[in-house]
Amino acid sequence: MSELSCTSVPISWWRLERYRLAELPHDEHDEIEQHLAGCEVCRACLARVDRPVELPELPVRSRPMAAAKPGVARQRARLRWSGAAAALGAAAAAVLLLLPHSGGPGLELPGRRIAFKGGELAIDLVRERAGSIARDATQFRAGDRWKVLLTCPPPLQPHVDVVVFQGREAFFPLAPAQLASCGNLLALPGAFALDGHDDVLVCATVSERAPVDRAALAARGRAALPAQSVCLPLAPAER
Amino acid sequence: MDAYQRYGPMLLRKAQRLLQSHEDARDVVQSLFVDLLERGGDESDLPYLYRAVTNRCLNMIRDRKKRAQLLERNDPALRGPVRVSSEARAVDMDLLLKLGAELDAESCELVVYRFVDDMPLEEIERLTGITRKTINKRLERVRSAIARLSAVPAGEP
Repeated sequence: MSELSCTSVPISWWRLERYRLAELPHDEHDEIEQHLAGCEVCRACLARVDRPVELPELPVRSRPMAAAKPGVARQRARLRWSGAAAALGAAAAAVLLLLPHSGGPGLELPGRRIAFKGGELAIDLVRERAGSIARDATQFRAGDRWKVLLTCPPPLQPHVDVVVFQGREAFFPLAPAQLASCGNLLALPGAFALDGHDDVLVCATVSERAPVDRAALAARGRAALPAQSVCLPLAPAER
Repeated sequence: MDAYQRYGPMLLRKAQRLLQSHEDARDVVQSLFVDLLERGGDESDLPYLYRAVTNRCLNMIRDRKKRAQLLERNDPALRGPVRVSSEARAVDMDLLLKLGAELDAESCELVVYRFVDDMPLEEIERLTGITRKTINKRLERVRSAIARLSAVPAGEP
């Protein structure tokens, strides 16, 4: 192992790799180029990035990457959210509002899947816990990471939003998105964490014409969920 | 191009750097993508993949039963140039194994980002969502642990 000195702040391996993949904003790309021009050790690291590697074969086929629709930020924000207070990630817009009413007696909650536009609208959740993935999880714990998978009938290109209800509060843990095309089990951009000791309802709501009205949802709670919404309940692992 | 072809090499290099073993790195990356594809996860979410590879590698490092295997297969050349060290010591496999036995999972993850991936604090904050204040606090504890563990000869628990 060699120990060399960088001329200033080293360009991390994370950024070097994304630089090579051309996945950095222009200003970061230029900054890195400038640094590399004068730093031998970071150039040595980049040379390692450029070495070919042999990927092991997968027994299952990886899907082609979906192109992000212009204007849909490929946001990979991770938000830590608690029942008492919300911590907002730097890259995502999220709103925390206290609801005067989160639903009254007899309020029927949307199910996990509904018939929609000749097909089906459905929500699935993927939980990652300490590197282990579960798709049928029904409980959450602090530190778990959740992804939302949405199924909707092509060729719709709906606006999608995710709202999480817990107690009298509603959170929007992911940035609103517009899908380039509907399909099966599409992973919505971003992931989130859950906290607190109350049951949670994770809902995905879609709209063909305009982004979902967050203000209405935040003001009226579950009662304001549009008809084209699907929800999954989760319980805390420890109460 | 699929996500595996695009991001697989990057993730494999990362796992190699951390585990310092070709075979173990391949196992981690392959199993991650297999799990994701079988469960319908998003295999194109790069920050998520990066963290998942980190944590899967750390699971191996923290697993006492895998310790001997990691040491046996250890190829220090895979670590690459060391640009960030702690207490004047590079975080090598010996130190990672000791830290893995002592620190909690989140602190180990921070060790990797700071001392193996050479990420500055603001990058770690963006990647993980953990505030810089918390990262600093945890890294202070890490530095104390490293100073203490560095007094123990290499290869000894």
